[in-house]
Amino acid sequence: MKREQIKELAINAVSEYHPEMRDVEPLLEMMDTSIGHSSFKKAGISPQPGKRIWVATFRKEEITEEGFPIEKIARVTLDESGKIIKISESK
Amino acid sequence: MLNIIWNKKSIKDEFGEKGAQKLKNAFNSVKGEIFDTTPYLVSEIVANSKKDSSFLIIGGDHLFPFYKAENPTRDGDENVWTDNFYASTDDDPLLPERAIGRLPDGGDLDFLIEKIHSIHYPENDEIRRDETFGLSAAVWVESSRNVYRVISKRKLLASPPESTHSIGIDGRTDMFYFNLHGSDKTNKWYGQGNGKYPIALAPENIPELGKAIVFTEACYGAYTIQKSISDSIALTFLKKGVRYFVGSTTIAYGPPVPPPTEADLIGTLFFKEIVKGEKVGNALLNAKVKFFKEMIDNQGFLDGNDRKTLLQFVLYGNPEGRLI
Repeated sequence: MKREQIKELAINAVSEYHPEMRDVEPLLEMMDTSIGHSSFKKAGISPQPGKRIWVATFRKEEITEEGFPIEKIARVTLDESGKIIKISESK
Repeated sequence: MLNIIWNKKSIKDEFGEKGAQKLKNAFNSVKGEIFDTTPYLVSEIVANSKKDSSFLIIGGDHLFPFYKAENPTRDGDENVWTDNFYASTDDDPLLPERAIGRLPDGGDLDFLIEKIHSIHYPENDEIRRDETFGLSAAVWVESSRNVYRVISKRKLLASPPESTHSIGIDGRTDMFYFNLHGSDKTNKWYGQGNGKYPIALAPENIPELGKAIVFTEACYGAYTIQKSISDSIALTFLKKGVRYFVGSTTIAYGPPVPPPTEADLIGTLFFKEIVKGEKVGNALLNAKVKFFKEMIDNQGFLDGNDRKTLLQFVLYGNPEGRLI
């Protein structure tokens, strides 16, 4: 799937929960999820191969009641085919 | 077996020779082995320790620095401060292998000594499950309920409408759960709802407490670097009597709605271990291992947020403590 299509999917997904982020230009990255074998060993499970995923990061400044700026971040994780895996937001 | 990790030189540099001696004397009341060491040598001590050993780091970042892990997300945090590295037998900090906690100092030696003395007393205290307090940003109430119900049947408060002006915390509260916004630049946590971000919790809201436990999902909830006690909700909780505080050193993440992932999931898994009667250090250790397995099972991989979650949650308090 093309980068622009992935971006569109991520914007649609984030807008469902964060309509205020619809106009935010996300940072879109293709990432490799490979993890060192030692972590699998520590967890007592067989090592899994890494996958290639897309992550779109949306950032927007919000203002608290006291007038203090805090940054809201929303991240959308998609698989290579553009399937939404997860939507996350900063605390 | 509790292992106390400290660096006498850094204590001396900060509080003088007398201060270092005063601190050393405080260790006399603690059952455990004392190691005067540096961050570079801790892994060796851990590698030579038994699997059921636990580690307690003395002091905040300026006395015994957090390990600075590479930030797996490009979210503005320069790196992720973690203690996982000091509880690992190798140089991969993602998953710890031993229970670990830290006693931050907030730049106040007397406060640090007071916390060391408190771990001398019996750590077993009954959890009065009716004495819990849960506060969530209104937008996350649905997700937060899933976490809070592990420890309580009480109503979870939401902000808004609740705010620093309306909440009242009972000094008899034993267990706290917070799912609020936080910042590394203020000493307040914030709610969210209807486009507003009210102040939900400030140090002034925290009364004198007993031997309580706090879990917070707030961004920077456990960020104490260069903070005095009154500059930090985490340090204020500890000063007011809280024995165990678990929170994030950096920007934390969670889902807008259930099922629980990231901070919601680590909180759920941690509370399940605590309710089972596990030691607090083991509860966080087990929660991290279960988190890793669950994400591999459900998702097939760990993304940057998942890795950051594993790194960023730290325990302030004695890892050998237990609430039964």
